[in-house]
Amino acid sequence: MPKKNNSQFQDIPLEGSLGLLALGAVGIRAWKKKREESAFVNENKNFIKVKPEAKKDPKAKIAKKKESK
Amino acid sequence: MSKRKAKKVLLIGWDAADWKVINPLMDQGKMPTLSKFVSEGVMGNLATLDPPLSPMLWTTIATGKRADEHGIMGFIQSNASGDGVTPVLSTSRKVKALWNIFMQHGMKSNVVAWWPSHPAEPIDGIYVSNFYHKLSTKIDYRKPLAPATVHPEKYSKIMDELRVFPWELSQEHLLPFVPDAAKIDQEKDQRLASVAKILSETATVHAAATWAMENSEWDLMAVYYDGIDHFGHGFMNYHPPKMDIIKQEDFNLYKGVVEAGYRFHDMMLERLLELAGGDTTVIIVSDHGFHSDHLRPKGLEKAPAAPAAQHRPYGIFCAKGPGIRKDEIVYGSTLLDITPTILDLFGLPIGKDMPGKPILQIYERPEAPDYIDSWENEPGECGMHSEEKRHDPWAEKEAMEQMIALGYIDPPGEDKKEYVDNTVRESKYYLSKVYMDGRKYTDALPVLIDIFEEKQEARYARALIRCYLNLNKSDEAMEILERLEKIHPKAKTQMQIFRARISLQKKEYDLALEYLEKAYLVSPNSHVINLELGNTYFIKKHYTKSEQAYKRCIEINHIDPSSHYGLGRVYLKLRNNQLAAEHLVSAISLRYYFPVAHYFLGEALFRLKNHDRALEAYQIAVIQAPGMEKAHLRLIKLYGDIYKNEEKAEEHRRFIEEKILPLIKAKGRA
Repeated sequence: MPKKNNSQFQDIPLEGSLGLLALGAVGIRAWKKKREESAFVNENKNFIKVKPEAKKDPKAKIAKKKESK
Repeated sequence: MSKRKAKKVLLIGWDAADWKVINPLMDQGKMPTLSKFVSEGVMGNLATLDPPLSPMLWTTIATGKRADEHGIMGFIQSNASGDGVTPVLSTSRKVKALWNIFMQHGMKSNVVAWWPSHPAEPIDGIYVSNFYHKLSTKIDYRKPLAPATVHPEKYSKIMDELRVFPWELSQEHLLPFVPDAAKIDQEKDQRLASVAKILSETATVHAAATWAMENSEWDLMAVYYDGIDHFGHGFMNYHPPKMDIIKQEDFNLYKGVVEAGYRFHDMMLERLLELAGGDTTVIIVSDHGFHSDHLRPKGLEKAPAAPAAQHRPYGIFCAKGPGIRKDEIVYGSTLLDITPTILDLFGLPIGKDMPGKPILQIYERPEAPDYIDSWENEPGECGMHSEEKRHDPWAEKEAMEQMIALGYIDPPGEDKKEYVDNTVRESKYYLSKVYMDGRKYTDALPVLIDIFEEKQEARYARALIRCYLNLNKSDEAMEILERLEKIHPKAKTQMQIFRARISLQKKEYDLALEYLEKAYLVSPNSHVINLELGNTYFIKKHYTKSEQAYKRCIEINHIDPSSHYGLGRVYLKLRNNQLAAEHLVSAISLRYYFPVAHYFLGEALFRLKNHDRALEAYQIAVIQAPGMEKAHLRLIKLYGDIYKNEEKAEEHRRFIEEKILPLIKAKGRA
């Protein structure tokens, strides 16, 4: 099974690319890792005006309740 | 026992992929991976089944059974106790899928996102259910993975991490789909968010599939992508050529979405092929096509599963690998043939209870396949869920609540009983369509009578009329038609078509023509009306008018087998045998299982003195319809008079005497 090694992922753009998505798991993991390391926040608000809202996650709500107890 | 031809098989499902969109893209060099793929393998149409609803069709692809056998009927179903509704689940499937059969043979399978596949089945391999990639309708909500989404459970964490969400996507991802995205006012127009949602879900499936391919050993890798279908339902109306109903500014913004979707799938295919390696047999299929041209419907009926009207009856099939022909076209395949083909690739016998056939045309050197009565009774652990889990109302209730919470299906509303009744009736309607598609009209009839008596909906009435007509019950068909006219008085053209069909069955040809000509004046570009006109003029021996009507049909839809068949028959009557042969070949290339078309092709070739090919055509006709006496008579003549092979001629004589004549006598007595 051919695997992509880390050296092939040195120039990962923080914004990602369709090419990285098309690479599948290795591309997505490399891109997510790069963003994490750079504490990247997607500033392209003109494109998709949504953000994850933890308060809507029922599990997060339950976890918060437990914490407060 | 037939030998194993494939070391490994990668089965890729592209829901709704259609050659009508793909071919121009390949010609323009925009799908280079698929273009190379088909030049190194075989390609062809894959005829769908009715109703063309994805959960039913993908289960047929993976089991080789029609829906009345496999048990998946639509999107939702009533639960085991009959007092609630549940989404269709892997536990709803009553028969073994390929991966279950393979497990019994010590083979490993990976299954990703197949529809329906939740809860994940405990097979020998990695199994990621179709709940995995589905985002909530609120796309800003990061829903947790549902329990039993991933098998083995230990891979849940990594699969969760691989998911891609719309809010993670940037202009780099979205501008190839919508280059002028910056002009969109997203407060008013949610379509860009919809592109992002579909792209995220597709990338998520691909991430899971590629991870499984890289991190496990497998014999079968089956992965299903719903992106092309979803891009189609959302954006095909913006695809060029521009439809009248689409505003110019919307067309300008979204005209590239479908094309970009296909191109992204081509990019993903490159990676899948790289991971599979050159010694793997790869099959790409779609469950149906998608109207992309002037046949796109301008509006949809207000009924459950109405978007299926956008589906075209031919999906795609292509395959490449060791022992498979290169750069060839295969004809006459259906969804029912995929499971038999894959079983044959692994040298395993095909169940005689599978109505399809292995596509032997793919091989450089085809061999006769093996058969067993059924795989269903074969003993051994197969990874299907236990009986308890199959009828576990708690699990069903939980899954349903989750589906509603996540926005997959509408909440039941206040009247729970009505919701359940509607679901049951809809499932019965689909069942009746499955029966009709399999020509089991006597099975379909009581189901249709039942649902129509329960609720007088126009679509039930239409199906009931068709069923009665197929059973030669024109009086009963007329009775339902009169009721339909009261339910839906505005559909005058449709009523005239039905009246014409009923008149035809009663051999009242002039009356039939009267109805059809009136309908034609209202809708001259209707394919159905022109086809009926062609058929009726043919019966009335008005061959020139018949020819004109069939030609109009071909102008409207040049890949309709019935119009080519009709035109072929007209040219036979007009003694233009060359043109007749050409149109009959076109008809067969579009629908291979078409015994009368093979017979009349034989007639045209016989007159052209091309005896070898005429013999071949008659032989195919009797293989497809063994009771076709006139084809046997032609074979007797050819073998006796031309080839001087008395033994073969006698074989067909005996067949008529022993098999066909007793049937004719019995029918006469009846």
